Amino acid sequence: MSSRLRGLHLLLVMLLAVSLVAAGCAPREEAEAPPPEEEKPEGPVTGGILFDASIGDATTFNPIHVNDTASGLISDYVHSSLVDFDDKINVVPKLATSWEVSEDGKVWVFHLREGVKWHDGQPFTARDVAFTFLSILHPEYTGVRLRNYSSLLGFDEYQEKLSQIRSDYKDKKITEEEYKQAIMEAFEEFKAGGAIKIIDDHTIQFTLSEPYAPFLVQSMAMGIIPEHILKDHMGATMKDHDFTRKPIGTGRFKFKEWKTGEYISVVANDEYYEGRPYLDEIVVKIIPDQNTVMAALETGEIDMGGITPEAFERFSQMKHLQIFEGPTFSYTYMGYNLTNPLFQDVRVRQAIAHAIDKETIVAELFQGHGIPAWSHGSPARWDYNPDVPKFEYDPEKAKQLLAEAGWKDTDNDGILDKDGVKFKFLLQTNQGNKIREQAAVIIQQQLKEVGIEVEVELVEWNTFVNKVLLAKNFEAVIVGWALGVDPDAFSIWHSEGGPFNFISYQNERVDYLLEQGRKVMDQEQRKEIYAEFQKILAEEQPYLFLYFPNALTAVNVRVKGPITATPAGIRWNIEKWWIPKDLQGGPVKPTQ
Amino acid sequence: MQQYAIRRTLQAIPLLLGITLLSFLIIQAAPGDPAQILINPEASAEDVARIRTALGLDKPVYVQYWRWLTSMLRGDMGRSFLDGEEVFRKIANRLPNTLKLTGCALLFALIIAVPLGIICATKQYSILDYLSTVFAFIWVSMPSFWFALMLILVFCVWLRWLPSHGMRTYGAPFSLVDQLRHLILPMLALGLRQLAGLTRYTRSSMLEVVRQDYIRTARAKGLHERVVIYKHALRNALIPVITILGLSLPGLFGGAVVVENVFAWPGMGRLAVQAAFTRDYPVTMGVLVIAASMVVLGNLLADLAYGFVDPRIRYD
Repeated sequence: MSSRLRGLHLLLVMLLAVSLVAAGCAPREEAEAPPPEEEKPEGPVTGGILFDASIGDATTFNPIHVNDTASGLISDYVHSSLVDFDDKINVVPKLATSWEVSEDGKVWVFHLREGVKWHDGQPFTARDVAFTFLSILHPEYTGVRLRNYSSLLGFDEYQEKLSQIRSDYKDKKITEEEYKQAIMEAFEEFKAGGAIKIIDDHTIQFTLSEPYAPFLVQSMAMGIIPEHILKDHMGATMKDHDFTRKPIGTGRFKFKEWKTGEYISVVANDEYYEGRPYLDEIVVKIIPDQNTVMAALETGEIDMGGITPEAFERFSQMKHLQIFEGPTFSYTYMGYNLTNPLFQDVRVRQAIAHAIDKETIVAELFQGHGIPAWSHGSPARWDYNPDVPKFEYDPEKAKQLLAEAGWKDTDNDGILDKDGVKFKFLLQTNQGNKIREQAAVIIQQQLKEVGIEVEVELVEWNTFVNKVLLAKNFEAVIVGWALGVDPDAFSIWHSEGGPFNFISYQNERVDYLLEQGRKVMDQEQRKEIYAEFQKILAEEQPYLFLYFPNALTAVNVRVKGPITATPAGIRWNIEKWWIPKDLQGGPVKPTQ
Repeated sequence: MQQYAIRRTLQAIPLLLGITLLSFLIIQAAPGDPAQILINPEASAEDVARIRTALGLDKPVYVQYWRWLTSMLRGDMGRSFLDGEEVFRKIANRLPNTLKLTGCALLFALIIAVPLGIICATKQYSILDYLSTVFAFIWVSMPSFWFALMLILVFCVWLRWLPSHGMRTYGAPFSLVDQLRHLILPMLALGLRQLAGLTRYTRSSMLEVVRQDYIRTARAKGLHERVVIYKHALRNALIPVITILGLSLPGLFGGAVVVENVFAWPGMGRLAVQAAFTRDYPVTMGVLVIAASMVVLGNLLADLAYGFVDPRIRYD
């Protein structure tokens, strides 16, 4: 299961293409390329090396610090978590065999699997679990997962205290010694609060300050790290520990080798608690150029890798490859700065939606391998509401709505105006994402037809995030979200608590729904809440929701499944994949 | 000669210092705070401040530079912001690969360019001369990433002669043939461009030399044409070529960035690109220092080489 989705609930997507490694897929009809060997029925056998490809190199294999696709991929093989997800994104037990929630939704007790061993032979216990989460909560923790634990009892007070101490230190009111002592005292105090409690070697309890529905998927799907190796390195020095590059886990595969810039390899864990994987080894080659990945797939140098929509037809013809296509949790949108008077009239936003042909965008940019987005919610996730208002392509309707809103072309220059102001705006997106650049150009052309002038500007990614998005310094932007496993969207849409609400969206009902969605535990009730939420967004059009691209992955025919594609990745059940004995020498090459 | 070498080496020190200072300032001026990039955008201002302190980014730029410089002079290049690995180890892992690639590319270019340039000059306006001119223009103007991809398409996908990426076959025992097979395409992608330029320089330099009086004298003495060209003319014609060689080093390193990326060659160029995008200051600075030193060294060697090939130049 991809850790790109677990834990972190929302993350800006830089390049949609980069998500190829963790990309999810659904099986396309496999009948197209049956290798002759498949005639004789053969059960799964062990052995063989699978050659995978990743565009990016890894940075760390410590799951609490992982923040990129390649690191997450390997970390998922080496480590395991209390709970994980299946192909339908349902929660399944892993290191925890069962769990209970108290009546009031605040106390969670997890029963841990017995007899699990770390890759170095040491036993796994509840102490490792407590150690992992406390390492994230440590005042010197530098990773990105801290906010996933904000529901824990005493978290807010603890963080407030820390920020007070930090500002005192910054203002030179206390010395460095005092500062270090103070933050550690605050940490001890938080620990004493009882948010995390070891009941016995195989039972652990978490207490929350209030009921928090996403707790299980957002907080508990985190790879557990070994206390016996890292116990003296909780805090700032953990990042520099050898463990970061040579991890020891409890997962399906054991770490073997990392040649930076070349490859990362893992080998089957014979002692894995759910049974040894069939594959002997997985080698992830680092190939930074997408074209080279595709060439290597085509020549049979690697077993699997992502392909682009343009290559889909050609690759489908290749007898030595099976192609998988599946939905993703990532969507792209055009966001309006709602503090700008141009975009404050909902009719104007609806008119723009009518003026843009999403079907054409998907057909042009993805050769049809994607779906138009109508609201905030992936069709691949349980909370999806298909029944939302859809502003279909209708330029006449668009013009009519704009006219109703007072925008008319009074000086006949082809651009609408109102009270002497012309309807034109600057549309910014990040450099290096060709698909977004092309989407911007299509939007520019289609809006011109209804009399709106758009200027497109490309900005380097870091500048784009810091100086444009987070600084709320834009008129309109094209950017994307990679949604999490849980539908909670508080940080994007809440008018007060949303650090990602850079479009300044405000809707009381939406605020209320988002708050409720976190508190209510029953999935059916939550589904209703998020259905209404999606409906309001679709109606109000604070974004022009554009598209969900599908992920396309090619896999060599020698690799047998069950290979099922999920929004969380095609590799989620890689321990069940196998290679027939006679094909274990290497990927099947194309016939000439 | 010795004195000259020492003086030039000493001169290189302020030059390198200047380069590091300028680079440091430019890197710092780039938007995007490393602390912000390390943690997610959701992080609070305190989180960012905490990480800035941990990385030493809260200090004024001149303090940061001084810290970096003094520890650098002690041989400590710092640790990567991104993954905590020592910069020295990172570079030590990658540098030999880049040197292998650029070295072979340069050697390949030289071995072909010099004889080809001479032939083109002695057989001016022949078919070979025209052909080499046409190809030189094509290679010089072709974007290297595109050329690299074309090489993969032809030699890997169509002909299936060579591997498309990497430095060696995974798991196979060391074999020179295997390494060479992996080297050929990136070497061609990087080297052909150099070859094109060097051929043109050798040719024009040779054309100029053969019109000199001493060549006429040599010929008038009744010397064999081969002796005239290879003994008298060549040494003189190579002088500007040596300068060009020294100057082509930055281009080679620059080109390596692109070529390494396409062929998944684990070199320093890719390290540099990744470090720049993630605002990993220590790694970026480390790579810059090494690359700058090599360029400075290359130029120094070129200057010293003059002494051997050009009797008119004496260092004292």
